[in-house]
This record gives sequence, C-alpha cells and structure tokens, in this order.
Amino acid sequence: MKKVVVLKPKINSKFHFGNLSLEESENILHSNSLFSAIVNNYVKLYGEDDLNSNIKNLKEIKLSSLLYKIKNIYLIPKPEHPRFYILKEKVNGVRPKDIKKIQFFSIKAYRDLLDGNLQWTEKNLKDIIDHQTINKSIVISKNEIEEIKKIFGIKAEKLKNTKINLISKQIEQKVAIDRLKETTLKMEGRGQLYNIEFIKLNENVEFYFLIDYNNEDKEFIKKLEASIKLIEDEGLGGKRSIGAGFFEKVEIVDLPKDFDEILDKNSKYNNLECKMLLGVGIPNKEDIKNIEYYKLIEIGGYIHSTSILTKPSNNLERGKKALTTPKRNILSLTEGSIVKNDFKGKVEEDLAPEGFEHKVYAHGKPILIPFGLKGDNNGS
Amino acid sequence: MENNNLTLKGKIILEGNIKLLTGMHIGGTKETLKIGGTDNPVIKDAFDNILIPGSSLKGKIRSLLEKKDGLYKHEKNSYIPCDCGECYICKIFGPHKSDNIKEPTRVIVRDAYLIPKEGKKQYEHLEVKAENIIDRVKGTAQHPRFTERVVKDSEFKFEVVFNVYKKDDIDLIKKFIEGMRLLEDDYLGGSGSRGYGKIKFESLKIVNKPKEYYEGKMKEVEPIPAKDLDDLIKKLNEIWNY
Ligand SMILES: [Zn+2]
Repeated sequence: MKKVVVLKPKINSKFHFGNLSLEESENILHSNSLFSAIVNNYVKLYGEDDLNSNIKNLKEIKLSSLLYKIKNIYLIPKPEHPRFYILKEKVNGVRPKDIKKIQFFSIKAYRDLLDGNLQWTEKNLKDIIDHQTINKSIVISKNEIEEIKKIFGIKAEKLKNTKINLISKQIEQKVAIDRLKETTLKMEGRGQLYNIEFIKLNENVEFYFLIDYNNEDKEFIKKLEASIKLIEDEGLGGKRSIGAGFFEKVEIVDLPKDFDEILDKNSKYNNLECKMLLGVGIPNKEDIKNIEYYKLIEIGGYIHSTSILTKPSNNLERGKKALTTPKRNILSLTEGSIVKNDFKGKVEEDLAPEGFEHKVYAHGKPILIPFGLKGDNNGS
Repeated sequence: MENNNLTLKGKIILEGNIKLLTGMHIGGTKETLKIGGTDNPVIKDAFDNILIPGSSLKGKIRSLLEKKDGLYKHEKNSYIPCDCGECYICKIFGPHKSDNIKEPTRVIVRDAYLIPKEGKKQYEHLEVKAENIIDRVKGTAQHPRFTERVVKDSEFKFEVVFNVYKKDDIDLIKKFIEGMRLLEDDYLGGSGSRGYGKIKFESLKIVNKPKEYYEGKMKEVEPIPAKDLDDLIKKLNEIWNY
C-alpha cells in the first residue's frame, strides 16, 4: 500500500537538514534520515523490545526523500540522465548551465515527459526554460503555468523574468553564556559564537514524502502510522532542541492522481525500461548490474540513539555514546538516479562501530518511478 | 543491559502570548547591521520577522531556576549550566553536555514570533533609543549608542512542548511553570537593569496530545484556556491522566 505523507510547516518554522555540518543546510532530507526519524519515533512510542520484533517489517518499507509541494504541484528530482545536463548542439538563448541548474520537475511535467507531451529537444529547450521553469530550477507542466502565476500574483508573461521566494536560507549566530556573570563563554573547544544555517519555506510550500508500507498487517500499520504522525511534534532534521523542524500538521493520505496513475502496477508506464529513484538507494548485489546513470552521496553522520536515551541509566559512557558516536559512512545513489529493470536496494545494518549497544541502520530502499524519454531515440 | 525502557506517553503543549510590559532588546547579529542603522538591532529572521529565539527563552528560564536552586557548576572560573543528568533541571532541559544524558530530555521551546498588531507592519513595533555612556572621570558623555527595542505592549506567540515519559513528569512541568513565574519577576533580553524586557504571560492554553492522538484514535485535541500561570497549574492538574 502506497501513501503520501504531507507535512505542513508551522508559520515561521525553520529547518536544518545537514549530514555533517552545522554551517550549511541541505535542501533535501534524504530518505535514510526519514527512516531514522520513523524508527526513533517507533522506539519512543513502543520501546525497543517492540522494535526488535517488528524491525523486519520496518526494513521492508520503501521511501522517497522529503520533497516539496507548492499547493497541489508535487515536485520530484530531476532525472540524472545526461539529457538534462548537456546540450547536444548549440541552442540560441540557452546556456549549458541553464539546464544543469534545473533540480526538480513537477510530477505533471514529468508525466508530460513520459507521454511525449513535453519534448526535451534542442528545438524546445528555450521555450521550456523561458515559460515553464520557476527560479531557473523547477520545470512545471504547461497546464500549471497559470496556477503558479495565480498563487504568487505574477504579472510577467515569461516565468523566466520572475523570482519566487520559495525556499530561503538564513544563518543564525548562537552564543554560549556564563550562568552567573552573564558574559559569553568559551566551551568544549568551540568559540563563543557559532553559526547554524536554516531553511524556511514560503507559506504556499509544504513538504511531502511517499511511503510504501509493503505490508498488510493492521497492527503494524497502526504503529507505523503513529510513528509518522509523531513527526508533527517531534520534528525533522537538526537543532530540534531549539525549536527547529516542527509541523502544524502531518497527514497520511492517498496518492495524488498523477502519482497513482504512474505508479499503478497495471499502468502503461510499467512497460518503460528504466526507473528513477525517488529516495537514496543502497544497491545490493543484484542491483549493481542495473545501475545506468547515477550520482553518489555519502550518508552517515552521528548516531542519535533513542533507545539508549529512553533508558534511564547512571552509566555516563552510554549517554555519551548515544549522541556522539559517528556512523560508518556509506555510499549510496542519490534521488534521480536511473536504473534499468528493477532496483530493490537494501538496509545496511552495521553502521555503528564495533561493540555498540544496538544496530544502527541505513535505509536504502527507495520508491521507484518509471522513466523513459519519448521522442528522443538517441537519448543516451 | 537494562530493560525498563521508557516510552512516550504523550505530549503536553503550553502556548500563549508573551506581552512586553516595557520595551525589550534581544540583540541580533552584526550581519544585519546596515550603515546608518542602529548599533544594536533586535533579532529578525530572513523575512524580517521579529522573534525571541527559543534558545533565549529556554536559556533564561533555565538559568533563573538554576540560580534559585543553586544548580549550576563552577569550573575554571566560569559558572556553567548543570550537567549532572539527575536533577530536575537536567531532566527538563537536558544536561548541558549531552554526554551525561541519563533520561530523555522533556522540554522543547520554540521560537516566539511577534504577533503584528492590526494594520501594523513588523518595523512599526520597533523604536531606537539613544543611550549615552558617561565617562566616569571626566563626567562627559561619550559617543551615544543606538539600541533598537521592541516597543512596550507588543506580543509574541510562544509554544513549549513537554514529552511525558513518567507519571511524575507533572512535577517537571510545574517546575518549568515556576521558571516562567520567575521570568515574570525578572526580564528578557538585554539591559534588564535599566528596566528593559519586563514581560507577562497571557492568553495561556494547554494542549494534551496523548499517544492515542498519534495513533489516529482521536482526530483533534481541544486547547484548554488558563487565566494566568497559577490557573495553568490548576488546569494541568485537572487534565493530567498519565
Ligand atoms: Zn543537573
């Protein structure tokens, strides 16, 4: 059963999605981090013993990364296919970097691409970039142009000539203070001041992700959905202790029409030879031969052990380990990577260093969406 | 290995307004400093919305409770936050060094944003005050500093979330409310000694989100209003079902 989870930020909510550094925030929270958040919430609600008896089911779920939606326009990553990176021939008014800069397609524009209604050819590129591209980075369907203009009150004829403040970044300076003297304090090898980058969303923008439960067990699904719903007040990403990452509402609903029709087992799109990853993929042995076009990222960071933190203890070492133990970094395919036939992915279990109290997982089973370029015979 | 795992029983959310009884200054960063502007601007986010950072509010309430009960540490000639992991401060706010964590941290304090008054823009809630620094020896005024303040009577929306793990956690929430009361007798932000930053908590509400809410057994939760901090404790006693 596939569902979409819609996460509506609170007014003025800010988010920090960083793998390794505080100084910079990424735009996307990868599906492996979503998985960790869901598992942590599961432990919070039902405890570690329950987790251990259900981890098999949890490891079977498939996820997309945390993506953006503008009202009812759902954005998905740009395919990592060479056609979206290089120009075959010179096009007047289009520079090579104009197509490199594109990061997202709306699901409708993507469907147009599959149907051949959006022809990604040198002849059409200027028109696509001038009229169908927001902020030089998001390609939408022809049918969505008027809607976007209405939502943001855009008067200009060409979308190219407007800039919409969809996601903005801000840097905050934090400072440590002495308790009694109320002066600044140097601590733990770090200076008095440190910077953290946050992202904020336009009021018309929300987050969403796709999930495939891959399970029919009602009791398990109830617990899984509660762990997802808890994200509402538990938050996502870094710096939650200072109020970042929270939501007004987290709702689990049926797939929107376009997703439903493309992802349906009986849809015509299933004849397409290729598929695109909507989350990060950790290949298993059989997957490797199917990888076509890809980008790699390192996933890892620090362990945030809910199961240790929710066990009262007087052992100083344990608390320390729960938050400061680095994970083993592993490479995975990014969102947008293209595979042939199928890609199952796997959940890596041994991300914790030797002797750590429990297993630490990296989820690498992404939701796939059929991919093909119509009207472009020599695409590769 | 210990097996008595704590599980989350629910969340208690306190919300309401922070009303300024006197002008308040919480300093922003130098990056927001523009030529011809003030020396010492108030904190704003990237959209120019004025806010009290959750960390400032949390830090102030924590330090007031620490001072009252002597729960801080003296180390290398500095007074630093408690990190024993066992006292109520460490349970509510988390030990200062996460190393010493022994129980899950109970409280999250969100950023409190200015609620613009009807028909007013954000900046219309600000004033710039000139302050002279007097030379102690010569008795003359030196270069005046220009400090930006949020004007009296402005209101901020605050929200505090408590994770409930144990039956006794009600005492931790009451301690936090006690800290809010200490804050009402103290000040928020800079220059408190000069009368800045006196505040009052108003339009208080308490929201109870038990585990059943997240499991989808109840659609909505109804916020319960409270007149003041005393009433908030009374309402907390009434709704407590953990
Ligand atoms: Zn302590």
